[in-house]
Amino acid sequence: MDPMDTFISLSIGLTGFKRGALAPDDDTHDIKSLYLKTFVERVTQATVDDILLWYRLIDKQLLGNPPDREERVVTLLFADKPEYELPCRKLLFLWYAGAWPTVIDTPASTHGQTFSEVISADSYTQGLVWRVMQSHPMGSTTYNYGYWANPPPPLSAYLENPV
Amino acid sequence: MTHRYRRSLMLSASIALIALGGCADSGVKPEPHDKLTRADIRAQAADGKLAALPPLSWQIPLDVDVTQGNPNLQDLQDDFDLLSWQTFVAVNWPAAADGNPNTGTTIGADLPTVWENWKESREVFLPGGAAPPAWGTDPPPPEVCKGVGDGTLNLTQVGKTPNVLDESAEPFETGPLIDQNGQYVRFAIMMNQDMFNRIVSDRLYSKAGQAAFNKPADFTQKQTPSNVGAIMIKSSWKVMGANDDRSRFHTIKALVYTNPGEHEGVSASCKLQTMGLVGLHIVHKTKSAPQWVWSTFEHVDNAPSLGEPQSKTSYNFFNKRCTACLANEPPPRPWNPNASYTQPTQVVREIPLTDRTKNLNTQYQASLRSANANSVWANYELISTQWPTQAHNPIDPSGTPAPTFLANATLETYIQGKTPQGSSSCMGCHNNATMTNGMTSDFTYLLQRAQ
Repeated sequence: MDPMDTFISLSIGLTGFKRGALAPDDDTHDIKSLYLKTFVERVTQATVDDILLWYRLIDKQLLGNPPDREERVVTLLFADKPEYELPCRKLLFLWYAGAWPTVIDTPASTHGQTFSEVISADSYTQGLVWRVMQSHPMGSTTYNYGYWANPPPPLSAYLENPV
Repeated sequence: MTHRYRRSLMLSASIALIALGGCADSGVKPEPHDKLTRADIRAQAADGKLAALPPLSWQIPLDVDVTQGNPNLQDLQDDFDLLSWQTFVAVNWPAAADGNPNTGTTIGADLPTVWENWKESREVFLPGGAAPPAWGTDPPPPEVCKGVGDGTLNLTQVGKTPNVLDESAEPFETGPLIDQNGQYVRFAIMMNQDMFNRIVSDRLYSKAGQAAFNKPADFTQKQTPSNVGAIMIKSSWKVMGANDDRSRFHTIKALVYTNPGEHEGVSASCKLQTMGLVGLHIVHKTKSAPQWVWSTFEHVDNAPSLGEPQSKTSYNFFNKRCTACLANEPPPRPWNPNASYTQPTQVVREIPLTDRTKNLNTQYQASLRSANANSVWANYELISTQWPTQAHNPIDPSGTPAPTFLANATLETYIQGKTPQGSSSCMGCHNNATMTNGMTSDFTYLLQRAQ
């Protein structure tokens, strides 16, 4: 596996989306490259290398080929290396919101706040959250005029298909 | 290899069989090059063997031909770019007296083309919603043009027609394009007979007809070598000035009509002028691309690309000496095409051509010159081809276009760039097109012109 392949597998395990949705064959947006670059820049190359290395090691130890393979590997990864959980949760946030989160922890009962920074216009429109909502980002839609008069496609269409 | 392109491959094979059948019927023998696969052609083209390109042909290809076993995005882009050039050659083939391609000659000399015999939108969407005259019959030119002379085309538009774009909530700033001679660029939109026939049979040429049709427009049709499916062509033309080298352009004599309805305070006028082709959109509805294939070409002298050397001595729409000129800014209002001179637009192409497209352009330009050393068509270049990567994605009727953005510097001058929903994307924009009754119009704004 090259780093991008591992990164996508990790992302599948984190987000629950299929490979075709995160890294489609004909990838016109190539948002995965922006996200890997952002992950490296915000977390450090050494940490990302470690996370991906450990992901590969655990993946090799997994017997069989269960349908939820990536999710299982992520669970085992966090069990072995709990220090990777926070950066991976931030990566999860990035995939869903198209933004990188900064968590400010405080003694307050709410445990502080999360501030987020949208990475690019493309990352805003490509956020997975819109698809979970069966919706589209404000100011941007791939639907044609009058789509709102029809019921949306089933949720599975949003989760399994790239946009 | 995706299922879609496996299907496309089967489709291509079917089309090839149909095409061969068509050739046999018409007595045209297959060329030796016809035996080459696209992969062969690309490999040989990469080696600089010009003969490896498909032969220059008057036959409009029906669809993209994908032969790779596991094509990646760039492979497919190459296939669509090849389709674009083949289509460009076919639609610009010299026309016979009946408007069909003159198969007894080749492309090269500056002669009236096949597509210039197609129907212009003004001839189809008539006042009062009247039925358009039959194919091959032209309505008279505007009243003000009578006695001015005979043109081969009536050029009536000076911008993206405002009433059409206003009705589709077009959010982009647009404006007229002014060449280095201070003259307004003119535009025309033409359609082929297959598209015209569908508009007539579905009575989509009038508001009443669209209301009665009462469902989304759909130009899907069975394609054969003689019925290639719906094609639209949008062209841009500059007035040939004293300092322009006419031998570098495809030119026409045109009745250049200024429509008083386009801009407030502008009076109707008409001039017989020699116009040079500077931009060309070719849009083809094919089986594999229900969102249509969008090919865009420009004259090679139009404008420099951002970040690239300004290699031309002079440009049609860029002044190398004007360091204070703001790029891609429309002229200040009021806009009046009757003005004898307007400050030229300083145009820069914001998204440069890819190296692969440049390479294909070089190959085709050389091929065109080998057919005719003085070919005007060798002075045009493909900017790119936009096509659907996910033609049948249930959550993306726009087809997830590749490339995401595509602009012709003469047709979308002021909306170039890479801003989602703000920069030109053929399929992204036309996905919102509707008829006058608000129903979707299958990626064409033409139907909003119905009266």
